[in-house]
Amino acid sequence: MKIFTIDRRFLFLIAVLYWESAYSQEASYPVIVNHPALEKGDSKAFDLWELRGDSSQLEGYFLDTESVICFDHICKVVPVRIFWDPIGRYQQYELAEGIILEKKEGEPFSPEDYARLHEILSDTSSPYRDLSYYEITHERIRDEGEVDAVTGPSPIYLNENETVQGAAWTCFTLWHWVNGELVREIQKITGKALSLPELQVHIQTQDPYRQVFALNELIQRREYDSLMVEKVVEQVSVSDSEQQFFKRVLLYLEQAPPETYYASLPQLLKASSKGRRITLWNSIHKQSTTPIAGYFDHFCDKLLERKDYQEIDLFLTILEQKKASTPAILTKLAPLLEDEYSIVNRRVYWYLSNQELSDSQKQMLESYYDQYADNL
Amino acid sequence: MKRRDFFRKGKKGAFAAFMIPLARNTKENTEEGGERKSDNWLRVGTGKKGIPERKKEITVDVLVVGGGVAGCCAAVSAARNGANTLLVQDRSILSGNASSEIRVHLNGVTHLKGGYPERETGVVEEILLHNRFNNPQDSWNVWDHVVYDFVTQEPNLKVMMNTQAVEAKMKGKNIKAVRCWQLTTETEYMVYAKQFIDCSGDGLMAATSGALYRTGREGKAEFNETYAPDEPDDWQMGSSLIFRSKDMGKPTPFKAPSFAIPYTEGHRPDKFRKVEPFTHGFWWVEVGSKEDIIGEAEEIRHRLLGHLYGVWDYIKNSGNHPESENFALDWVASVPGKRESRRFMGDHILIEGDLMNHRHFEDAVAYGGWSLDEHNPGGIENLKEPASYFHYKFSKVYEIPFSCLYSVNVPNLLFAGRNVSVSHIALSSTRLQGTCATMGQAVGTAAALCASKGITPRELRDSHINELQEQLLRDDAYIPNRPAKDEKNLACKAVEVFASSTSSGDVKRLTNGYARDVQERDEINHWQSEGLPANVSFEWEKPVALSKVEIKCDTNTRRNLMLRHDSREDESFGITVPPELLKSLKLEARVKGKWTLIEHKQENTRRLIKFHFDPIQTTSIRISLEETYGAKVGRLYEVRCYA
Repeated sequence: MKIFTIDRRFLFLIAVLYWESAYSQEASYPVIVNHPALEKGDSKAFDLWELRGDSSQLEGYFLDTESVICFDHICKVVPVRIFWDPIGRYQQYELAEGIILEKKEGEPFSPEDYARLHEILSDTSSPYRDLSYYEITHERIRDEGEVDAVTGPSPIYLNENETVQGAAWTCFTLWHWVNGELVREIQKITGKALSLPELQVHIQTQDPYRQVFALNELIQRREYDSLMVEKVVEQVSVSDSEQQFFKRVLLYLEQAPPETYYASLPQLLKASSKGRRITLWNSIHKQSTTPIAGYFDHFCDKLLERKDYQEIDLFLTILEQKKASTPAILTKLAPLLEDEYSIVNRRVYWYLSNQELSDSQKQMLESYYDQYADNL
Repeated sequence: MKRRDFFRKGKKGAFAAFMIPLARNTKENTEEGGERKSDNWLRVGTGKKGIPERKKEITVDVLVVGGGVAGCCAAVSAARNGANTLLVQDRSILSGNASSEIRVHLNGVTHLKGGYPERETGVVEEILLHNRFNNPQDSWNVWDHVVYDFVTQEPNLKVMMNTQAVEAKMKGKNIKAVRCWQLTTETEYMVYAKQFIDCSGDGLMAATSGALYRTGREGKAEFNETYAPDEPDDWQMGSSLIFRSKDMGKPTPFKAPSFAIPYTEGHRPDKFRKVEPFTHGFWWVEVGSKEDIIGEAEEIRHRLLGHLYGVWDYIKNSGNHPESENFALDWVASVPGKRESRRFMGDHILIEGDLMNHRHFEDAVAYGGWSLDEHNPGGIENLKEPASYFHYKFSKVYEIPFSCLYSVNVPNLLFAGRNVSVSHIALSSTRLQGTCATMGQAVGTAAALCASKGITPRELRDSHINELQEQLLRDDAYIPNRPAKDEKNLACKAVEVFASSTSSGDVKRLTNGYARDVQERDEINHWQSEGLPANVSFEWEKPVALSKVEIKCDTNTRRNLMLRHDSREDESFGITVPPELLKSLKLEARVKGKWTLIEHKQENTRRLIKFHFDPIQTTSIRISLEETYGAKVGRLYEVRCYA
C-alpha cells in the first residue's frame, strides 16, 4: 500500500484513521531507544514497522507511542502513531478515531494546534531540541513571568509558532521520539538492506540528507570500491555549498587505505575553496602516513600562483613534517627569494634554510639574508 | 531635614555609637583565688595588670571596606593593578549577600527580556569559575571559603576578617585614615591609605567622612521618573531572610516558636508571593522601613524571623498545603540580606531614564540589566501591594558611569555596590550583586590608578578615563558600546591572522575590541574551530618584542553559573565547569624561523588566560587549543600581545 499524502492544512482534521486496517505491515523491527525524559539506561522498546508500496518497495516506517511520558499517573496519555520515510525523515503523526490531544486543564487541541504540532515535529532545529526535561516540567515556558533575586526561575520564551501553548510536554515528548535515536535506528535498518548501486544513487542525488545517509553506510561497511570513491569525490565538487557533505566525505576518505586517500586528494584540492583547501591540507598534516615520493611536486605551481600565506605555510609545514622535499619543489621555491620582501618569501627562506640546496640556491639564500636580516 | 535629603553625618555621633569602653584597670577582685599569684586572669582581675589595649597602624595604598561580592572584586582589582590593598570585612566570611549566611543568588544581567541568560565577565567570572572547580557539591559553606581562597591568594592584598571600619579620620576634605575595630582580637586598627572604597552596603565609613548621601524614595518630579511615587517619602526596600526545608520521608510536625508572626496566604492574590516550591525560602519574606533602617536593623531582624516562622507555620499547619507534611526546616538564615539604606552621591546620580533610555556615558565603566525590581514599601508587612513591582524589563544592558562611583564631596572616596550614586528607582536594578561586581572591579582598578598617579577619582575621570576603561577591558570586564582600542596591543598589528579551521565567527574578530558576543546586537565576536585540536596564528611583517600574550576564551556567558538553592542544571543554568572552557592549550612563538614552545597550560581554569614570559623577538605566534572541559570545538574571543 501507499503512504498517503495530505494537504497539511487538513491533515489533522482527518487524521483519525483506523490504523489497524490502513497499512500493510510487512515486517517489524524491535528497537530500544532513549529519550531525554527517561533516566539514563532506562530506554524504551518499540516495534518499528515497515511500510511497503504496491511493488513492495520500502516507503517508510511507523511506530506507535504515547503522547507524553508520564511519571505521576495523572497525565492524560493517548496513543500516537509516527511515520518516517525510509531514511528517517519525519512525515506525519496520526491519532486513532475518537482520540484527541489535550492541553492544560483538559482543553482539546484546536485544528491549528494539530497543524502546529506537525510543524514543530518537522523542524529538526526546533527549540525543543535543546530544552531539558527540567525546564519543561518546571513550567519554565511561559508568556509572562519574572525572576526574583533569590529563588525565581528564568522563564523561557518561545515564539507562538515554536510551541503549542499549554502542551509543551506533548511537544517535547513527541519531538524527541520523532527526531531522536529512532532516526539512526531507521537509517541502520534501511542502510543495511541497500546494495552499492542503490547507495550510489543516494550519493548522486544532490540531496545532502540522502548523501550523508549513504556515506554513513559506506563508512560503516568500510566500502572503498574505486568506482564508489570516484563517485563520492565527484559529488564534492558539485555540492560546493554543502559543508556537511564535504566533511563527511573527508571522514570517509581518512578511513580509507592510504593509497586511496592520497589518490583522491588532488581532485578535491583542485576544485575547492580556500577554506576547504585548508581543511584538506590539515587533513594531510594529521595523517601519520606518507605518500609516495614526488606526490607534492605538482601542487607547487598553484600554490605559488595564489601566494596565500596560510596555505603556503601549511604546505611547507607538511613537507617538513613528512620530509617530502624534492629537487623539483626546491627549484620552484627558491626564485621566490628574489621577489620583493614578504612574509611568504620569509617563510620560504626558513624552509629552504633546512634543505639540501644547490650552490645557486644557497647563494640566493645568502643574498636574501643579507638583505632582510632585520626581518627574520 | 527630611531623611531623603542630603545628610552630612556628625562624626561624633557615629564615634560614640561604636565606642567600646576599654578600662585600663579593673576593680579589685574580692573573690578568693587560692594560690594563683602568677595566674594571668587573676592578675587582670585584681587590677595588678591592665587589660591590654591593642592599637595598631597599617598603611596601604587602597583600603576596601566590605567583603561582599563588590568589595572582593574591588580589592582584587586594586591589588592586581599594583596597589598595596587592604580589605576589611566585618563578618567571618566573605561574599555578603551571596554568602552562606544570607544565600541570595548572584544575579545581575542574568536574564534579559526575551533573551537568553547573560553573565558578567571579569573578576566575578573568575570567582564563579573558581567555585565550579572547587565546589562541585554545591555547598554554600564551601562557597564562602572558595571566595576566601580566591581573594586571599592575591599577593598584593591583605584581608582582615571580623573587622569593621567604624570611623573615617579626615584631613581637610580627604579621608586620611579609618579607624577599624577587629572584634575577635579586641584590636583597634588605624588604616592609612591614599584611596578609600566603601563597598559595605550601609556605608558607615563613608557616612562618618561626611560624604553626602540620600535615603528614601525620590518623588516623580525630581528626576522625571515614571515609576517613582508622586511625592517623595522615606521608604527603603527591605531585607529578607531565607530558609531551606527538606523532605524527611515521613510526617514531620512543626510547632511555631513564640516569636512567630502569623501569616495567612491570600490577603491579596499575588503571583510573587507563592509558597511553592517551599524548599528554598521566599525572597518576599521581607521587612522594609520608612524610618532609620540601619538603626532599626536588630528590630527588623527579629520581626523578619517572626514572619519567616509564621509563613512556615502557615505552610505546615494551615491545612492548605498537605504536600508539606513530610517537610521540615533544614536551615534558617539569621542574617538578613539587605537591599537598601544609604545611597552616596557622586558627580552623577544614575536615574530611571538613564537606564531605560540606555544612555551612553563617555565614562561608562560598569553595566547592569536586571529589571526595575522595586520591592514594595514594607515588604511582608504590606500585603496590599505586590511583593515587588517588576516595573520594566530590559531587553539589553545599560551603562553605569564612573561618575556614580565616587563621592561628590570627599575627594578620595569611592563606592561600589548598593550604596552608589543612584536614585531609588535605579537602585531597584543596580543593586543586583553581579552588577555590583562590575562596579567593584571598576573602582578597584580606578583606585589603583589614582594611587599610582597621585590624583583623585574625579581627576581620573576627567583626564584618564580612557586608561581606566582600557585596563578594565584588558582585565576581561565588559563595557557596553565601548570596544577596546589599546594601541599597545601588538596583536592588532599582525599582517596575517589565520586559523586551522573555522566553524563559527571569524578569526579576524579576535582583535576587534569586543571580547564577547553582544546579545542585544546579535553580534558575533568570536572565532570557533571545527574541532580539536585547532590553532590560530598571528604573523608580523617584522619581528616584534613580546613578553605577554593574553587570551579570552569561551565560558558560555549565555548560561548562568552561580550557586543556587536548587542546583538547577539545564540550558540556562549549570552546576559544572562550563564544558566550553579551554582546559589545555599551548603558546608557541617562531624565533628565527623555528617554533619555540613558550608555555603549555594543561589545567586552565580561567576565561582570561595569561601567558607572561621573558621577552622574546618573534615573527609569529601560534596558539594551539587542545582540549576543553567537554566541548568538541574551541572558541576564542580575544587575543592580545604586549611587549
